[in-house]
Amino acid sequence: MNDLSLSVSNTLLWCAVLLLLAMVIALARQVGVLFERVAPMGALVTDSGPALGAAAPHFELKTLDAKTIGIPAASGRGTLLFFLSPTCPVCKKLLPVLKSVQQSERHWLDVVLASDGNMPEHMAFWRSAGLTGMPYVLSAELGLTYRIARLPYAVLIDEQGRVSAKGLINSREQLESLFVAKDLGVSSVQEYLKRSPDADVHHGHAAHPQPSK
Amino acid sequence: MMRGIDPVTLMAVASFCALLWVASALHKLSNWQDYREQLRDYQIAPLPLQAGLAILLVLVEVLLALAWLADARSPWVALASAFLLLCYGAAMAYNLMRGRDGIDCGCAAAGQLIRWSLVVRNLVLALLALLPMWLASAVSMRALCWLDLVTIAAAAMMLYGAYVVANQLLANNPPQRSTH
Repeated sequence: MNDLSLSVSNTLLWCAVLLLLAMVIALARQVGVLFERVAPMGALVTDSGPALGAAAPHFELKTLDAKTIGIPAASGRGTLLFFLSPTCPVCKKLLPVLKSVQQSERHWLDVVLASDGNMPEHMAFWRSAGLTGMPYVLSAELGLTYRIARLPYAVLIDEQGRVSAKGLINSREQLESLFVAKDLGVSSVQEYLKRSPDADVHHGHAAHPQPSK
Repeated sequence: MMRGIDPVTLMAVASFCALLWVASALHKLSNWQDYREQLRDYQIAPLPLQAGLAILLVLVEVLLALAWLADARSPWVALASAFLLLCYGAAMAYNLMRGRDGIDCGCAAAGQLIRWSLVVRNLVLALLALLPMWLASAVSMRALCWLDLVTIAAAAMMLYGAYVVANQLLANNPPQRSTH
């Protein structure tokens, strides 16, 4: 045993420790990714507020730029009500998605942002986040009517003024699931699965109608 | 011959602190827009001061990293590091106490919300940053050979890796992912 062999052994052991640590980091990240993957696939529907398929309660509200809008829109257009708050990180993550939805569905759909609280904070958020293309209403009553407990939450109202889909939204997929639910004429993933018993089930959890990308 | 604590121990902890600040500054610089927004969400400084504060924090972090490498025994570097870590912890605690637990912590793991466990994490890091100051008087002097440098670098990386794992596990905690 001499100094050289000790040095070599020591260096090799350090390499082994760092390699193992790198693998532990990778595993910890994977656990995080897994948590995200197994999160509910469709928007989480809560069983309170106006029922799916029922007529949406009518509201006349003032937007931040002092225009009056009707919810649902009287003109036979659909409305996507998106409940958000300037302090919710997930809401901010979804803003680009919301803008692209507004663009791609503009032939039949108005996107309305809804929140409550003090005006200046929302005004600053509305301007700085580049949301001026969408009406933004502040109404505690609206939030109470739809029983909004957690954010971001979206309600899709169809052209006939009925609540066609709603739920807690955490990702683009969940927002799109509202449109899929409307197109398929189902109110929830549960109902979809009940209707088609042969809906393919794989990877341990029920597949959910995915919009084509 | 009087034997104190080996300098390699002190250097390893100091290098870890340097690594921590470099990583923190790089994370802020590479996600500048997100970082600015996260800082705004903390609501700790009036709006006009935010831009200045954002730059100042990154600058201080880079300086601290360099200072750790330049002089591991300096009590000022240790105190300043602990102070900044405690400030970050206090900013999180301040928001948690006001019930604003839905804001992004701005930590290395993406989408990590502030929580009390992160305040504790910062407390532990602050204590670790004070360790070299406490060890400094007991450290013996000796010439460092190449293997010591390997040990210092590897031990610092190991400490940092352990920190990354701990932070990731905190971020994985399922309730973290719920929205506010």
